[in-house]
Amino acid sequence: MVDERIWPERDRPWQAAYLWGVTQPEVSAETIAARLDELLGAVLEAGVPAEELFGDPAALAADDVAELGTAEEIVRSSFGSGAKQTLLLTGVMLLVPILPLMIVLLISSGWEIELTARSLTFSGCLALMLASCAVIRALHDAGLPKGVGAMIAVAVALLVAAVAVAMTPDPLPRLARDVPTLFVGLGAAVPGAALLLTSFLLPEKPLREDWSEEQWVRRFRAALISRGLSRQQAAERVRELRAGRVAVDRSAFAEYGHPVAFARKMTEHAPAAKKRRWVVGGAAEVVVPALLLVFGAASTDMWWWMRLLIGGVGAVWLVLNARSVWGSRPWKAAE
Amino acid sequence: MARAECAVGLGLAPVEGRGVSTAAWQRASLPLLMLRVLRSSPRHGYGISQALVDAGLHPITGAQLYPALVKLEADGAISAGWEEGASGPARKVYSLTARGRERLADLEDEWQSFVAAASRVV
Repeated sequence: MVDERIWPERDRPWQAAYLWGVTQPEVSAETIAARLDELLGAVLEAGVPAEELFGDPAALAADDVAELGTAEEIVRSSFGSGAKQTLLLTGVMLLVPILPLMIVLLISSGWEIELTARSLTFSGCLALMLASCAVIRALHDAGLPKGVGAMIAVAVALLVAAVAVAMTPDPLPRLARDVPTLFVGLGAAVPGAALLLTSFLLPEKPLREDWSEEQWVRRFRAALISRGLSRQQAAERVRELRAGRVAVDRSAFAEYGHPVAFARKMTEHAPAAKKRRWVVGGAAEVVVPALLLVFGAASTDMWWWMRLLIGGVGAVWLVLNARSVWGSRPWKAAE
Repeated sequence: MARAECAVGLGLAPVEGRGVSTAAWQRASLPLLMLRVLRSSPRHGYGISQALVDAGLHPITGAQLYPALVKLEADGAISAGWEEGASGPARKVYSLTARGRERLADLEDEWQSFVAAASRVV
């Protein structure tokens, strides 16, 4: 049967504001839908505006996130929860630069361009570096710091290779000339689109539940480090749980749940972990705009207005991100 | 009309997992219960859980207990130190701090107000 109940026109802005606030990684789509249905039922039954009935939508959304949200849902919906989410992120990261790249190519070279081995190698290195960044994020979300370290090394190597190729004075063999620029753009979009399609075709998988004790502890320790604890602090947490488990005859999974979700709970309020997460997360947020700014300022072979545009976008983006990062400093509440 | 009054008055159906039960009340009052247990003497994590069970409350899983301890420690309400076990591994023992005593007093006041108000209704 189709549910014909709809939000009254006067309450739609309230509903939109509530939905904006409650849509957080820790609350599942099913839970949000059930809660919205519950709120709508109350509004229709009371016959008064939602604002009058429930008050500020942002405040109610914050309460509901605190009450309905779970660390398990954050892990389940994170980019590190499986191949589906990782492919989705990688596909998006490969597709996003295509449009600005096309605009730059059309402005600088017109409707047809020349393809050289150098330009293809350079683009390939950059695309693989972007894919590496997506995998780094996925491994970080999955609580696998060793994998993150290895992939950072791969990404840096690809960046160095891209710079080395760009600085080669020899353009390397010409592969084709007068290739339609739009055709090049479509070709560049194929890998990202293929990854997105594969991601959509893959089924959603529930969180893993079969953990041996050793697997659970190893993943928990790694996830603690990934969330900002030092090795020593992580080892101490593991030691504490092991000592407490002497008196408990249930498995670690039955007692604590998913190791990555439990690591999130254990580090959410830990001051040292919060500070380290802020430093690393903040650095990640400012590094890309800073690179764009430097690229705009240093690329002497581009038109001045293009340098100004790229540098300007980088500068504005950098200032906005830096303000946002500073606003989220862990010690702000104590000031 | 207050939001909570409206919700109760309109008989909002509980979302799955939100049903009110002793376990839910216990979860909501966990910081108060833990600080109260630690006021009598320092204990390790499992010891706190055991003290609550001995008092007739539901057992607390490690998934609830340890994050709550981390939060109380981060707030400065409790402090932790390692203690060698007589017949087992060393254990982390938690004790109440001066700040924790203040926090406990505040929570006890809030709890008394809540119970007094609730008992006028129930």
